[in-house]
Amino acid sequence: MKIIPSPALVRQSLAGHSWLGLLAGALLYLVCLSGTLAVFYPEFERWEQPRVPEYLEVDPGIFDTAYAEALARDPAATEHVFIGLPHGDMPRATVSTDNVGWFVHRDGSLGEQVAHDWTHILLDLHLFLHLPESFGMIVVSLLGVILCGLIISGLLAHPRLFKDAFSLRLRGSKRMEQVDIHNRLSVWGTPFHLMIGITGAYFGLAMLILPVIAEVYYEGDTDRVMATLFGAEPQLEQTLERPAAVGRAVRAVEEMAADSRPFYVTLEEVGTPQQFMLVGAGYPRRLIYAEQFRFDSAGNYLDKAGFSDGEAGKQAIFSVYRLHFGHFGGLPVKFAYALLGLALTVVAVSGVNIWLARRKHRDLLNPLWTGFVWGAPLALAVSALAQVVFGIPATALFWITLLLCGCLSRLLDDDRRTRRQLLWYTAGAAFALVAGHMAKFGSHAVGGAALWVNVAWLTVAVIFCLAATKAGTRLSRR
Amino acid sequence: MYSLIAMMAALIGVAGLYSSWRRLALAGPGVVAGSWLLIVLSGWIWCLGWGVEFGTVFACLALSVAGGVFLLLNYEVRERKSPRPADTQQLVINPRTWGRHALLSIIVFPVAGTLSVVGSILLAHEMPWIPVNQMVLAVLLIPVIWGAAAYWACADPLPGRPAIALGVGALLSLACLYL
Repeated sequence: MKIIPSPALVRQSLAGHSWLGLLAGALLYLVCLSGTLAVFYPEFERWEQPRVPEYLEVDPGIFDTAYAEALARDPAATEHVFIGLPHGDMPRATVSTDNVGWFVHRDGSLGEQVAHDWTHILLDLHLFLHLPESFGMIVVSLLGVILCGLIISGLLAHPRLFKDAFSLRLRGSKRMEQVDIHNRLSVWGTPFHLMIGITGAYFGLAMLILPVIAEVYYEGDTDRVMATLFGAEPQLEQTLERPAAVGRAVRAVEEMAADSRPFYVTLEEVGTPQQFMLVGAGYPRRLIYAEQFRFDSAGNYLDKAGFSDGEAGKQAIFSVYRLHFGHFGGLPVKFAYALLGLALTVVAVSGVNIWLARRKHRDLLNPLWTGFVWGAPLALAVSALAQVVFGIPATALFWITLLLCGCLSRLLDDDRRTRRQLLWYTAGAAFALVAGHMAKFGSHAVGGAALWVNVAWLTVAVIFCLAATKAGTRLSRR
Repeated sequence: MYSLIAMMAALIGVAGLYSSWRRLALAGPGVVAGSWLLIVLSGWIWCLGWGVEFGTVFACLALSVAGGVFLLLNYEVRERKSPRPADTQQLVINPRTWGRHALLSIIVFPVAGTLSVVGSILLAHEMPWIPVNQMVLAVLLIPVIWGAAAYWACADPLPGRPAIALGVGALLSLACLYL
């Protein structure tokens, strides 16, 4: 027995798919593009500050004084101190208050201030679309919901989706080409896309539904929900005579869980009698972000949250981050995520392209869309150039560049010419970025993570040059 | 070693599907069934080598990558049909469709959203599990239920039907949860 959706269902599903896709297409594109790059955000952070000394082995005792020094340097009030221990993904140690952070030298002295401003622009675009955080996170989470709706409607709207799973007809008619690209990348990426949709929706929706869950389970007490999911805060009354014993706590975790690797320490309720420490430790071959071990200020072990061996729900909820960002399994997984993320980006764009190609006319939306799609990589490259090389705050510049690309596209009113010009501009900006980075950081720009990020920018520049040249040849044949 | 064997199994499985699809020497229902079996087997091998968590994710990623490989093997470049570019007309905004779009927006967001939130919590609440597992199930179910409800709202030619059904569903779920 074959289950084939009726033509009416297919037609209706297609209508629903189009409505949802058009509603979210542009924002989905930005979120997917920035998300694809965000997979490598630790590498971008290292590239932004390539002079910072890197090391993996360190005596955790140095952080007792390092964090006290950071607190002394930061006059503003802080409730938390975050200590990043060096590890494979980020072989640098940091200590940060709620307001400012510093890198920590191997001897415990504080070094350069932490400043990953362009990486934050990228991450904020992915997480909040540069909107105010709480609102932006909900908007982006709703995009995750829409992505789930698009996957369901897409599967029902295309009865030949699996039958044509290997058919990819490029060029020919614009519409057929876009349909093939859209459907093929969608069907092969379905498990990944669904996972990204569900985990992406979690981050904003969790806060939105917290009061409802609290009402159902604990008469509206949201703190109890948080305690159930993430563990209750220890009730302490201590006299703080010396800095928290960070080193002792980290060493205790290393002894208690030999197969784990501590990679961060958070001090909560800093400077109060309730002060305590969370030591986060990663486990091999586990998706959980970390197991959290809790200690009092003197470094005495209190308990652990149970993310590694507690209830299935706790383990699942603390696995969402790594699953969404691909931060597990090393570089091969990151590259696979980048590849499939790029595919999802192309799916978002080709979906709108299909709708545009299906229309019987051309209007303002056509050039604006072309300018927006090919302007986004340019806007990212220009913002990186301004922020990293010249130290100019570049969030506004990103949006201004995008706006100017729309205007240019409207002015040229020729999609292929616009695309070609924007490809050239992006390649130029990427070349300038690498040149500027090398001029600013010298030999540090060609070592460690900085080298690979610069090589990646150069690769993008070369690919865009080749694509622009090819597009130019086609234009001259026209 | 496990990774290599699992990846090979996934590639051979997808190759079998591809061969059947292209009607090459190896084709037919037996080949399709065998190919799917190999793909499932590759998932099991991933889990053996990397544990259930990594193994499941790797199996999904490998299937996507394997599919992409055969897609690249099969792409076909046709002669570009370049119709004469149409003149850009003035953007026409049709206010008559605004009502429908506004209605759909209301159904897709507040109505479907309310149903998915309270419906997921109700569904999870009825599971014979401890609260933490129920809560997490609810959180992870919401986007799927919301997405499905949003799809229905957009696909139904009579938008009133999903609006009423989802609204009533949300009210009943609320009643079950709070009364």
